[in-house]
Amino acid sequence: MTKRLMIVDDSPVMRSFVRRTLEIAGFGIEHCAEASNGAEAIEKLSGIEVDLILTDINMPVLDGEGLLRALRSDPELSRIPVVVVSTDSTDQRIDSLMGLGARGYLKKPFPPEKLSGILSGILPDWEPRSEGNF
Amino acid sequence: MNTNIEAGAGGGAQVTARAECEAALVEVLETMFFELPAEGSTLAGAPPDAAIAVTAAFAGDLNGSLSLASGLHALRRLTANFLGREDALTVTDAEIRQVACELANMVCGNALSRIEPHGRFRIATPELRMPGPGPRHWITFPLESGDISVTLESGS
Repeated sequence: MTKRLMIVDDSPVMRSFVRRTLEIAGFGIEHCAEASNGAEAIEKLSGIEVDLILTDINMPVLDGEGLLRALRSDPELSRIPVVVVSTDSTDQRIDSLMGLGARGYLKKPFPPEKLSGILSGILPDWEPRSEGNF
Repeated sequence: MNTNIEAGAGGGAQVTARAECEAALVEVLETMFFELPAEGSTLAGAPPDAAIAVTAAFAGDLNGSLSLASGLHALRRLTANFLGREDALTVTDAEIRQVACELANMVCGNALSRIEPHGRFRIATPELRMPGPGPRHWITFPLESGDISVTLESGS
């Protein structure tokens, strides 16, 4: 099974890292959209459908919290599971983001297996094609 | 509370800052860059190689900045590892700068969560620059392709 995802991060190399990590893990990706901040993500989501959003927190224009709020206010977009990937990992921050609707939280740095584990819990039908090549 | 890296027998917080910065740098390099630093860091007043320097300011329960400096060769190799490139020569200068910023961001966040596990911080977008003037201590780790150095300065 393949999924459509969106990676939201102001760092192009971090977006590339996350995508490559999923590909190496064997997750089938039908389409991977990218956005450099929350506002760009919302704009792109008006024209495409995705099954999962992976987002950073600290971004210009509209940060991860703003993105979660915008998604939650839209009946259609609020159905998309969101996983936050960030260096900001204090308990308060995680509680706040989960309260805004995030389904998972991944602290950077992370081993590739950890990303796979979180995604398997959120999208159980999205199984890696192989054991991965970590 | 000041939480700066000190060489001498400073207060407990200062000693902790060095240990936590070292631990943060090692964890980030091992986990995301697949690079194992050689044993033994050194402390000096300036980084041995600062062809590229990045400073990430932070604010919150602690305010200050973390800076990272390294040579071009070492950062090119780290960038290749991060992006999964077998040939480091395919890495562009822009990618090296972006990865240096991401590396500083991750080391900063990791170090702060070790120094103040229950603290709340906001890390600004890292900038390609050396830290401001003033005495500071840089922790340097030797890597296979050169040195990488980090320094942290903060106050409440």
